[in-house]
Amino acid sequence: MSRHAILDDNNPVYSFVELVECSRLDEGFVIQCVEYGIAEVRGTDRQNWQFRAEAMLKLQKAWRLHRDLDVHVSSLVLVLDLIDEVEALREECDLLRQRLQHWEA
Amino acid sequence: MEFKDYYKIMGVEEKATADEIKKAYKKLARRYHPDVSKEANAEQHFKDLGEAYEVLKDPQRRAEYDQLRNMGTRGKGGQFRPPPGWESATHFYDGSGDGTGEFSDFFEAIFGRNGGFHRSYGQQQGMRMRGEDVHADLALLLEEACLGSEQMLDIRVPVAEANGLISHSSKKLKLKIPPGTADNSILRLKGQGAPGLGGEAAGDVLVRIRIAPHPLYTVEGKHISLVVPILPHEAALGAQITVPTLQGQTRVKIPAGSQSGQKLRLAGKGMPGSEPGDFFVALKLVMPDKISDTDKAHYEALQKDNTSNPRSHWGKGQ
Repeated sequence: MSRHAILDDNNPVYSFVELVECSRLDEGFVIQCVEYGIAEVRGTDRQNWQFRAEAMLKLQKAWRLHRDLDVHVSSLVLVLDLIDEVEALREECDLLRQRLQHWEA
Repeated sequence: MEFKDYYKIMGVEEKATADEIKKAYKKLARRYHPDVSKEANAEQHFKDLGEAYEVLKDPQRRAEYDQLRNMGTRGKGGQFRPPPGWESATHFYDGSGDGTGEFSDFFEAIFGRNGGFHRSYGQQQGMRMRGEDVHADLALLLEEACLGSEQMLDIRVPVAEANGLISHSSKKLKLKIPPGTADNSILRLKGQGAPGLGGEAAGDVLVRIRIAPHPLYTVEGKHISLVVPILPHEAALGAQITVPTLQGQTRVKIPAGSQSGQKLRLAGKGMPGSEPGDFFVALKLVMPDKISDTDKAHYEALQKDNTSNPRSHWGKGQ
């Protein structure tokens, strides 16, 4: 049976408490990741922190890499930056390939 | 059910030491981890690997598995069933509560569901916990994302059973995509995820939008580009042409003296939104399929009077 879903918003924002509750991540791990600059956060202190959904998904990815591949939190910044860079290069490559196809068509 | 050869999955010998198993796991986990791997079926490989490692890293579970591997009944096509009355002596569960505890039927047949890895964080009486979020990717055509559309989304939602174990149920959601939805954007469907425990709120569904490559258009953020072929006389003298944008046909003025590769910007005709994107027309100079005798005469006249050289920057003699 299908249900009609109500779109809440397309740019959800989470407070620190909401993020910990929704992501099921350990508070300490989130704080460490923020300190290392792994996730972008707005606000100066923990009470005012605001995370976008992308940041929450990135923190969850960081946790999986930490848990499954034994990547230390201090190395996660580098690992995630490199993954992002590879991803961005792949997307750029796809875009250029697509443009070339359109140009040669 | 299919027999799972955990040694083969991990690429180790039956006599492999605990250290060799750990090394093999680390090597393959790096290769198949869904967050870093681009291998086909990486997620399934990683699940199989995790399952194999959970069994082989533990001496007691490994001994049980070895025993079954030698004793278990295998029928046609390698089908496996444990000996009658088989019961595992190992009792453990994965309390991580983060979605890692989904194992194969083969695993459950050996180690049992109750004593297996299924999460059981809901089993304590009176426990209160917000429901788990569910993540999903949704591929859309550019038209569906740009103009808005209604989509059907199939998701698997974890549900806490009365005994505290977690099972998964399928759920279909009708989802309205707002016009101008960008690639990689995340939509939140509040309260459509896993039900909460002890009266707590249900989790959300987070949907990541992926826009499929389009045969005509390329999309970069909120801007859309289209390669538009034009004839030499249209480039030289200018022209009014009709161009298909996603919002419909639009008249575009080609300026006289246009170059191949030149881009014309149609402000606000890209992805809709509070700050709409632009639509770029990339001009591509093409020759007609056939050149008539009259055309040829015109080109010969052009050649005769020509004074410019597009290769002059290469130096003399070009």
